[in-house]
Amino acid sequence: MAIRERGVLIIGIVAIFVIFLLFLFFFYRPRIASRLRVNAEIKKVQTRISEIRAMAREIERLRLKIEELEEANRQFIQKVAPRHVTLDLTKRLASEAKKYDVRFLAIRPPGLDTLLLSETEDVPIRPLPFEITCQGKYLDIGRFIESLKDFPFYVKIHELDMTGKAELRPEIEARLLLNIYTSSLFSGGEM
Amino acid sequence: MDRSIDYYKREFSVPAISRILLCGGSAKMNGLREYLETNLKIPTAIFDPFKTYNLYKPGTSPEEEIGHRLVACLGLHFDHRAVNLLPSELKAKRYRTRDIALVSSMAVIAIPVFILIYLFLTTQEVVERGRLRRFEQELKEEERVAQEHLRLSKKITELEARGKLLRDIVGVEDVTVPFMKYISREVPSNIQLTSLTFTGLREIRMKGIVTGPAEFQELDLSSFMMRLELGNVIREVRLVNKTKTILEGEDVLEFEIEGEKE
Repeated sequence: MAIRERGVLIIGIVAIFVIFLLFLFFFYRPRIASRLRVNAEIKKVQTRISEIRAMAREIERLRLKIEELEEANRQFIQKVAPRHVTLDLTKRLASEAKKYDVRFLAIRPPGLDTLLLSETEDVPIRPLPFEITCQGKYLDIGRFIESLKDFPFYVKIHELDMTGKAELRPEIEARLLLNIYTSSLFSGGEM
Repeated sequence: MDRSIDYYKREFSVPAISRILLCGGSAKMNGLREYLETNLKIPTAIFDPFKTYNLYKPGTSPEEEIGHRLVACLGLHFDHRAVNLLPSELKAKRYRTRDIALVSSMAVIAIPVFILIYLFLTTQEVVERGRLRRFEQELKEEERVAQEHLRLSKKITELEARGKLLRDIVGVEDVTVPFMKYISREVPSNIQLTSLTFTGLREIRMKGIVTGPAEFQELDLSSFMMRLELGNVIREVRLVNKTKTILEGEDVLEFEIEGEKE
């Protein structure tokens, strides 16, 4: 059977094959690609929804943490002395020292420019240095310094200089450089 | 025979006859093959299809090989459907009708199949897009939770940063008292400190006197310094100066040492 005798059949098969190819390239593949894109988007959205649901479960824990942090900060701020009571605090320190038989001989406050310096949001607390000369027994001075951690406001020793003198024995003279942490932004634990 | 051969050549446009095959009862007539070959000058042979296709039983003698006589019988036996001598134009015409029907059937089956596949895919895509829209709507509602989470996380970061800022300003726990306790423990009974300075919670300077037997005073001072160095509280303990002197009639060693808080 010669091929030219079956020309119609061959042309028909080729035509159907061409139609198949056209269908494949212009209809089938674009649809499949589009479907894959939609599926990928669905997966992405589902992943995001799962993430958000996981976040939703965490929200309560975050709220509790915020409360804890706010409480911690509030407690911290409560121990920062408001600016207007700073000078009176040294008098309270002197009376506190008396409980431990330590006598304040001299209190030298910082300069007026330091006292009047205002705090900012970036530096909300400022240490005000007071130089205090006191007299007492070594152990009493130690106990007094230890008691400062229970003082209602932050007071920290920055420098300590103790000198024993023959005429003072058994007492010694101590020079303390105290930092009282103060702020004009805080008042009674609030900003 | 010459005229027949000439006619054949002319009619079928054959330039030359390559050979002549003889068959039938008289093919093996004595001298016929040689006679024709000599006179016509064309190679001549007996046509025996049984021999050509090896159909004789093994051991058949040449006298028994009579295939040339059976050519007509073989022709009669041949299947008439295996040979079609119809001219190719007529054959093509006959196939065309049949092939058109065949191709049309194929097209009638294939094209609807393609259309069905396309419709199926389009429908599926529409369904998937519907699902996507539902999920997007759901996501839009859930995004408020995400924003709330983000807001809370941001607030926590701010609060932590603020807390750290405040604590950094106030600084670490007081180290003065533990240091004083340590010094009280470590100073031996024959050493009296006359001055203890603790600057910036880091630099330490001590002045004092060593009493006791004069020959052991320097040894006691070194021992004291070693204890301080090995005590993991003060490091880099250095002797600034030392002087032997007499205090209230007693030989003493005055010293000054310094170091740094660990």
